[in-house]
Amino acid sequence: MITAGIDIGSLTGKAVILKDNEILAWNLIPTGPDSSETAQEVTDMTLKGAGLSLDDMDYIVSTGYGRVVVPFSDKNITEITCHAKGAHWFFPGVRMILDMGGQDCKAIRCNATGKVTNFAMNDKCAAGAGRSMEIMADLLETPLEKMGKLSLDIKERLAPLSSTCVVFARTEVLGHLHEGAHKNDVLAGACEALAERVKSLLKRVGIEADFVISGGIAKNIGVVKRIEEKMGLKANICFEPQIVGALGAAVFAREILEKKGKRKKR
Amino acid sequence: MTTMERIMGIFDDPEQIVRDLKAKGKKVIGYRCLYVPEEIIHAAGMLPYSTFGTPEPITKADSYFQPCACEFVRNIFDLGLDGKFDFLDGLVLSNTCDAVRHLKNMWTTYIGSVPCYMLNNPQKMYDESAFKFYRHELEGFKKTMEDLSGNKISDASLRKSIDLYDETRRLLKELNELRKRDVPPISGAEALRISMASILMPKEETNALLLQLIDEVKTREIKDADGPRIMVTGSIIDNPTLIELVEDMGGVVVADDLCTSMKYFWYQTKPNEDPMDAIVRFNLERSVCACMHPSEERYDFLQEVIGGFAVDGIIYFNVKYCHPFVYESATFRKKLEEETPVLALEVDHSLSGLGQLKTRVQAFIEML
Ligand code: SF4
Ligand code: SF4
Repeated sequence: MITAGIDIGSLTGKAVILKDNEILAWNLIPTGPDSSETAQEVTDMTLKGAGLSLDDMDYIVSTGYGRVVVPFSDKNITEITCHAKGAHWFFPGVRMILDMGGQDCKAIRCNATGKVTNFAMNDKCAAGAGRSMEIMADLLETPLEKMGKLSLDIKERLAPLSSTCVVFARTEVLGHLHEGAHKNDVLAGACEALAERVKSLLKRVGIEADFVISGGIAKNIGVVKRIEEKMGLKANICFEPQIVGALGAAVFAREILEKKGKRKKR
Repeated sequence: MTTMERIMGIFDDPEQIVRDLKAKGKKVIGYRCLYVPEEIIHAAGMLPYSTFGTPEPITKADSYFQPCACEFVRNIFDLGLDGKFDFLDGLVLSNTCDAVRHLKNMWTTYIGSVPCYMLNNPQKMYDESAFKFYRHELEGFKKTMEDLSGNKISDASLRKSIDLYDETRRLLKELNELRKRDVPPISGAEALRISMASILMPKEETNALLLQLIDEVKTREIKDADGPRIMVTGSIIDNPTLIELVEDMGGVVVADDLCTSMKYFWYQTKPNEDPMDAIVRFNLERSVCACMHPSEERYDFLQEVIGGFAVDGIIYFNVKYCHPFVYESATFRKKLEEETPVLALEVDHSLSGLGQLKTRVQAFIEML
């Protein structure tokens, strides 16, 4: 049984192809202005990698904020439900998931089967999400991938950025720089602030020790370390935290088929 | 045309009712709030007309109100400023929260075309001194309505009006009880439209239509009834869009806790020799609003609905920035959650930003 999960997020599109319970191929690309095109593109790339075509797919589930515009999907499921499923696939003991995506941030709690039991979401603005980190990286002329590491190598501990709004945070950062603060220290302040916000989001759903971080920011060691410190917990992060949602979607696709007991004709 | 279609037509263009009646010389009194006794307005020979808002962004009202004032109130003021309520012969507000108090002040000063009255109501229930105070207020209100209409209100006519409105409440409740079925005959969005149209129409007409409607939908079944059964609650929801959103995401809205729907008709007056006392007790012995104390009974009402309609999940739509309901939901939520999952959402009265709400609602329904 071959299924696919397509996750069209605000900043990246991801696709995962599953054969029974094994990942055949996956890919991620930046989301373009046209979400359907992004979906098409990332799916094509992934299919190619697996040496398959769309006709070989038995069932496709789409997720992410662009989930309804994926033209070839059989069903759409929210990223909240899919992230829990995907995290559970990677780490079967998981009970709490933090998904830090491009435009928003979600705290999710699930049961022993990976089913969501509670969730909280920060989607008011980009603060506390990947986009704000991109803006900081830009402002401090630091490659995004290096940001986390640099933020751990600090000279002086600055107060965490106090502005919730990215626009104000910019001003705050510029202020620090004009006062001659070291770049790494400012980066640390940004990561610290993000970790603080995330912690309160997690508190809203109820803290659990078996904890997974997914989404792009899971790659930012500076943020992850600080979250772990603040929570006194060790976070589980899979080899590619950005595909957790797409993987969850592919797992759902398989389960839906199994439930139906038959393959869908394309 | 089916009765359902007729009622939907009235919902889409409620002012048709007013146009017809005004042409015949009848006075129309706008009111906002369940605590304004329509029966007194009706007994004076006028039509009580509930002022619902519209899903439009706030414009001019922002210069008159703080941005943290309830959006519903700002929306109503906008409509008033634009002359959209000029067909009214008066507007009656009930003194329930700060937002409405401010609306009264602003309306009186800046909207000269429609006189505005404030009816004080106690915020404490089951209390002798509150009964006394409210009775005094209602006598004053009765006098005001008599002066405005030029008609005296006799006990007999008031009695008749109460019976008429009780019958509307009874019929609406009978209709909505059908939603307890495994497959409800009407969707949540339809139910809200029916209630709102029924609230707006002259009750003589409403009652006749409701009788037919109950008969018409008895054997009906909605199409998608597989999803979880949802109760919708929150402050003023005067637009079916939010309910439709829940239903589009696969929820089956079977019940609500809204002034524009179930709270309007769930209770009836109790037998009473003195019709004024019947109204006093009707309003101070039923718990329908977060503005009233004690709130325990409202919690019991919610429990009754959750149990009776086999509710699987509760969605709170809190209109920005309705303080009474935000406080209440904060305290109720914890208790409710012990047995039934709750999703609390903050919404714009103008219904902007629905896209973001969708993900939460869909995830909540997937969770159930
Ligand atoms: S919520 Fe309370 S104050 Fe508002 S209309 Fe309903 S009864 Fe009146
Ligand atoms: S919605 Fe809330 S704040 Fe607004 S008028 Fe009604 S009770 Fe008052």
